[in-house]
Amino acid sequence: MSSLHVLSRAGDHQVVWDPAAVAACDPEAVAAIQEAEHLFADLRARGGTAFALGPGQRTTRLDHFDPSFNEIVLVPRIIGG
Amino acid sequence: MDVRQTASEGELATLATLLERVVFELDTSLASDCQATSGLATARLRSFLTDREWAQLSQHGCLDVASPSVHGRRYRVPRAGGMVTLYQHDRPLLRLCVGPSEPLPRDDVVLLHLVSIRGDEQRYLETANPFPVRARGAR
Repeated sequence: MSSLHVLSRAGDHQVVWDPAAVAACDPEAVAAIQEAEHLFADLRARGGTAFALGPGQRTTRLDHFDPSFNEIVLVPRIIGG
Repeated sequence: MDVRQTASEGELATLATLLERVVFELDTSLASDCQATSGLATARLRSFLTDREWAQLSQHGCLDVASPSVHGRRYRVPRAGGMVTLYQHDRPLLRLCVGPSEPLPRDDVVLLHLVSIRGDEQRYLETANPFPVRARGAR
């Protein structure tokens, strides 16, 4: 299973999808991907950043939504204090 | 016609009781939401850390994040919030003031620092306001 996590003041928002089900055009999996893509675009438009990561794995900034990653984290814009 | 009415003491007391009840329910609901959100953030952070990283965070209240680009550089992220300290070869060089543009649960803030340093260190440093670390005993 793959997932996208949104860090926000509203608390946890997570979208989970099964890549195999997406490949098989399962409607629920496709809807999950579409929701993840929408969240990704919305956060990026507000100045946030997306990262792909996993425990012990290299963390990569994502400029385009890529559902092939197992874990994607969306973080709000960071600011200097 | 004068439509103003004067509330009786009994009605005022009932209203006050209702308001107290509403405030109590709101407080309880908000506290419950905060605890739930915080618990989820902790579980999420744990899932992205190695056992060793989690042990450091749990036992020492901070997380050391190695620089992906500079040998010997690491960032110490405090779990309780506050500035991140940049170390070079175990010497504290700078304190960095940087954080999310909106309030997040504390463990989500730790995760934000972790992924920002590992995934986009250059932008992280460009965004942070750096402050020199004063040597002990210096005035």
